[in-house]
Amino acid sequence: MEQDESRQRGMHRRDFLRGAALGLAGLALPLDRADASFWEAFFQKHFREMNDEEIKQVISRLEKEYAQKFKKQIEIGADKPIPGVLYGYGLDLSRCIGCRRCVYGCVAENNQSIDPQIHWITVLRFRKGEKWVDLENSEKYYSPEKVPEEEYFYMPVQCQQCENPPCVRACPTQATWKEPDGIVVIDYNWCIGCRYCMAACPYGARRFNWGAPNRPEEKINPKTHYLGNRPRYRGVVEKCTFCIQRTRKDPGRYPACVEACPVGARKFGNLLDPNSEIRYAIEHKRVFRLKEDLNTSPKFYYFFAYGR
Amino acid sequence: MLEKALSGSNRYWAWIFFLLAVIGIGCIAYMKQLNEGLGITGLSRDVSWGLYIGQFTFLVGVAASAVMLVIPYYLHDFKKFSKIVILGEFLAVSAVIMCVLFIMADMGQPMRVANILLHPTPGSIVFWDVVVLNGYLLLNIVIGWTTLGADRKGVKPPDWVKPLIYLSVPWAVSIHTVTAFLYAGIPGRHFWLTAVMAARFLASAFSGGPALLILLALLVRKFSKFDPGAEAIQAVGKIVTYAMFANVFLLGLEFFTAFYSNIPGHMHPFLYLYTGIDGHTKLVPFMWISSILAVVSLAILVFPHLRRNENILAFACAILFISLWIDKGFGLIIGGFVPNMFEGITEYWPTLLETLITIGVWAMGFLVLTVLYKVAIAVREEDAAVEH
Repeated sequence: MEQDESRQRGMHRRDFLRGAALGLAGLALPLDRADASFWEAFFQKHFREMNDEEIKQVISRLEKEYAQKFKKQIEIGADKPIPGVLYGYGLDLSRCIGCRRCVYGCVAENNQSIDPQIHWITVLRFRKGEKWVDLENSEKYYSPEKVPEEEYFYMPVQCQQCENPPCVRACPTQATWKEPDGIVVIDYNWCIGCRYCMAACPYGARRFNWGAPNRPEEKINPKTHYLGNRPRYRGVVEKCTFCIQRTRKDPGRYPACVEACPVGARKFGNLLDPNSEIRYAIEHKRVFRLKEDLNTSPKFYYFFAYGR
Repeated sequence: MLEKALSGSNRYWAWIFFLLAVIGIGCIAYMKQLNEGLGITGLSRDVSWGLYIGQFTFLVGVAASAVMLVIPYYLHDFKKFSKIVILGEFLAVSAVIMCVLFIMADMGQPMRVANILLHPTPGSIVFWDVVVLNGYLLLNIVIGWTTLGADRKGVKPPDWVKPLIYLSVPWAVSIHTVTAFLYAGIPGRHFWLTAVMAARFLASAFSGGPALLILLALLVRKFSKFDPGAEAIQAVGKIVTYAMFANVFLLGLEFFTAFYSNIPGHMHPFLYLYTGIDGHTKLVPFMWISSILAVVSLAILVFPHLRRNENILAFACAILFISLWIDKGFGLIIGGFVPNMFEGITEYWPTLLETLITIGVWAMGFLVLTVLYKVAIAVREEDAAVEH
């Protein structure tokens, strides 16, 4: 580890000397780089305007870049939406114990930066017996010895995958959009990092890479999707994608947070399939959606299945 | 005409080099931001816009304020503004340039900004803001340069400028309206979700911008032979006064709606800004300074005999400008983010690097302003020499 660090430092010094030599002339443009991938990246088209062949080329370029950077093979999928599928999520607040396993399951699956720390899921804590879900008196940074605590209940919040997403409306470059299967995605190679979507999201669900994302190589999940959990860049926005890299496969897998939940509070399925678990929850439980009054129409349903 | 900016007194060159030095420091700070990311700022997940966007918003107002001179002069033939109007137009040019630079400074991926134009997105307010701001910049450069050029030759400006001048009037209103829409159309941020936002923006612009212009006009008169006209300055003073009353009135409306309705989401940002919430009081002293300065400036400006004394007028304009700068360049943006979407409080304060970059952009604006004013003054001084 120490050796690693010193090697890195040595490299920095070399880079620095080379940079200083080119310094004023080159500015931030890496004109000295032998590979053309910088310019290829610069002139890359918008994701939705590329045909399959172009997408393949971009992906192979990115895979090469990632291999160089992380010293391991990272596979970038581009699975398309499955026809007849509209994803929906259910969260049973009567079961949730506030353990945050979903938060860390999500981080392990989706390659979030560890330092600076990025979490896509926030778990809020509410005191029982006072009011209904009262956001004003919720706490984000609770840390008891043990959960669940007798006097509290918990509510995890993540991207609500709105049918009418204010973030998409706000984006000046169409770098974020809603896919036909209802997932709101971001093209990390098109986002300019203006953070208007963050201002626009009523659920605080979007995260910005304030610095270069940092994640140890051995912790990188190599199974990724172009619009999902592939490694991100400094200066772009990211958020939950319902684990697009898992859920779009056929047969698919549940999102990591659903798998991680130890009490089965999280439900996931196809809203268009009358036999799906999520449809059962919506039809048989008393469900609600967050900030319904804003007409964002989330595809994320909360409910209390039983008891207190 | 630009060659006129290349000859000047020692004091002129000292000022230019001072500005260049400040710009240089800003550039070094910006290089660090470019290399490390926006993490060098005080911004966070909860407060994702700060000083840069605040300055941008404030300066759009300064830019729009040129219209307060254009309307009386070109639409009402108010001759006393004949000399000062060019100062307003050139102020607008430098203000818009600063706006563009602040936007660039705020981008996570500045290399990709062309994507805004590569993918015109009429549904996004940012797209429209880019369009109207650049249009306004172009209009003011063309109008200012052409009228000044005609002036130099002692002829009337060509006829084709007239329609552009008329166009610049609604265009000035549009830049600040669209900028207000950036905020006023966002669901879930109560502080910004208000129909009077654009009106308030215009009112504060039409007081803050002309207040700055008065200070600049007084400076120009002090340091050159060009006199924008004492009566013109007085007339602008009147505009500042009325607009500031409108601005304070509109702010009062916000308070009424928030507190009479008693809706927590509406009240909390005001409480955070003016009293602090749960011991989070970083902005409280500044908001009160802003309020006190606003009241004092109005108490001075409302009396014509006080206003007529140019020293007192300058003082009132200076504190009014500071008041609005705090209110709009800072409080308005931060208030929209605190409390956050789940009523949690994360405070924001700019870092040193962020401040240096901000000062660097202002210096760049002042450099552009100085050069443009130098040209305008040189032309006017020539004219004056010819006339007498």
